[in-house]
Amino acid sequence: MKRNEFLILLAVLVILPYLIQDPYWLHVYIITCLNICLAVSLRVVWNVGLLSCGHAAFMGLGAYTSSLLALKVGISPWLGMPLGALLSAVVALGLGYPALRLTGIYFVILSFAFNEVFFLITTRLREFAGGPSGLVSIPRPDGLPPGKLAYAYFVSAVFLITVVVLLRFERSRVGRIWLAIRDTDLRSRCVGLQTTHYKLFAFAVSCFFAGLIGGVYAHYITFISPSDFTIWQSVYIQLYMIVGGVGSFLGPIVGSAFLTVLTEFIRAAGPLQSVVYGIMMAAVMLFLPGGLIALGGHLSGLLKKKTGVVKNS
Amino acid sequence: MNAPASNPPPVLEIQGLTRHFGGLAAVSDLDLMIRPGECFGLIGPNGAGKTTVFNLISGVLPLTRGQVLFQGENVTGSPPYALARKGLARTFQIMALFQSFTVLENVLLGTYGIVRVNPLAALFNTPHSRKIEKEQKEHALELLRFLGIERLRDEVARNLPLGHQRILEMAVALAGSPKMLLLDEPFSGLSGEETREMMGRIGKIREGKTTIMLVEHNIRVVMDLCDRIAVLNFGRKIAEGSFEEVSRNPEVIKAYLGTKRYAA
Repeated sequence: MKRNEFLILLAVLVILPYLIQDPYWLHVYIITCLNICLAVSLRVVWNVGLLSCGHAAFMGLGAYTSSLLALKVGISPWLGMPLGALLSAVVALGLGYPALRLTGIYFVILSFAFNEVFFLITTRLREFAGGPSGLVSIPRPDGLPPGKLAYAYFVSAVFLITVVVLLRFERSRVGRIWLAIRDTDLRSRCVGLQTTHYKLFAFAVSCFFAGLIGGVYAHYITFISPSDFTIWQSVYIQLYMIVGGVGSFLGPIVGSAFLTVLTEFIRAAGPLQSVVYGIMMAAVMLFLPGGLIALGGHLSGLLKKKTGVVKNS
Repeated sequence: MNAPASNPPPVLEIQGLTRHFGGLAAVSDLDLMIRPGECFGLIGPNGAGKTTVFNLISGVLPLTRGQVLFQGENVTGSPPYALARKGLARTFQIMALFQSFTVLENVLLGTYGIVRVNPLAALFNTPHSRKIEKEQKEHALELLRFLGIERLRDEVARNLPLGHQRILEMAVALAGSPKMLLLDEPFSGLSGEETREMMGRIGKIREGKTTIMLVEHNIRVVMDLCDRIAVLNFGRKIAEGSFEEVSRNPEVIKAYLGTKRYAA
């Protein structure tokens, strides 16, 4: 990551929560940051040519792990959150080992099934994990001052870590190898790259951050239930990524920010929300295959055309 | 064994190579022996099983029966990445380039699997990983210069015309400095001028002591480039030897040069 990018990002993450102050909009800020992290981490799997429909389950795994550790064992969330992230990564390795031999639609179906299994297990574990009603009174991380502003700064820090690590990966040789595998798995193998290992690694990195964000979410919202981590949540994360544009690192950031904030404005629409999302998704796929991020290029192209015409006439 | 100077051990030895697709024997009982520094041609009519032979040698397809020995080591059933690391590289007839990357990045990607860096070292950009990256970049540029396509270094692969893609195909395979190179129809679709240039390049690669095995349709090219030739028809070897020997073989004339209509 270049120094300037880092400094700008840091400045935004420090100044923005302070400027917002209003608890409601601080809540929106926190959720937006978490959604961005989810979408950006999902893109890591996308980069090796796979679409995961189970990202919410890995988020849930981190959320449940950290919450249960805090509630049942009394382990501090500061330790619980990274442990939840690690468990997510380990489960991703276990699931990915057989699953990553599958390509395309088969991997999509398997990750979909994993999400459903996670839902069923958490719903059935009545004694241990609260069943359908979930877990309540999850403690906030100890030592963190009360109020939304403090948590917003904590989320800023998590956001910074996630974005810096994933951007560095993307720009390192590992990131290039991931994209190369996406271009052609066969050729990558024929130049000596163990593509299954690289895919497995990408999947684990992606799910590590999903798990981490799950923990951060659980200790913020203090109440989680299986319905927070359903297949639909996974689909929403995909939506954030695709609407923003999967071609660049910035795409999922723009997409998540746009859709999360938009949700607040169309909340009054109630069940019609998903209709808006659906139309949005279809519109982006049809008219803006590059996502919102490509809009800038299109607009500047249009402007140039316009001014060009003016000059000619 | 008795006269190692005149008869060095083969780089690649194939014994009884067989591959069935359902009931169809795409390759049956193929024996070949390729000596160091040699340019060996594998020819035959369409559907004779030439590309299948390459897929079997390079580990892309599992074989039904037989053995592959590379530099005396039994590599039967080894996965493609392991063979690439041992120094057996290949190109593809239906090109398999890293389409969204530039020419230079394509060649760099060709080196990443051979000289590897721990992912976490790459993440933290350690001095060691930076040094390796720099060396690989220099090596890649040198290779582009050697093949005469340095000026294309920043072009994105998918935008290249076919002739340049064929050269890049070869560059990616050569990136890991292989001991042996399998070329799958590197001349297909090239113009006369491009063909001449490509022959020059393959000649230069040979001077670098890289052993070459070539699958090709174009008889003239094979005649000029190859020391020895094997002819494949319906998955079986029907002749082997120098171009003169092979071209006199009546079975080859019948199978390869075709029916009376073509011979006339």
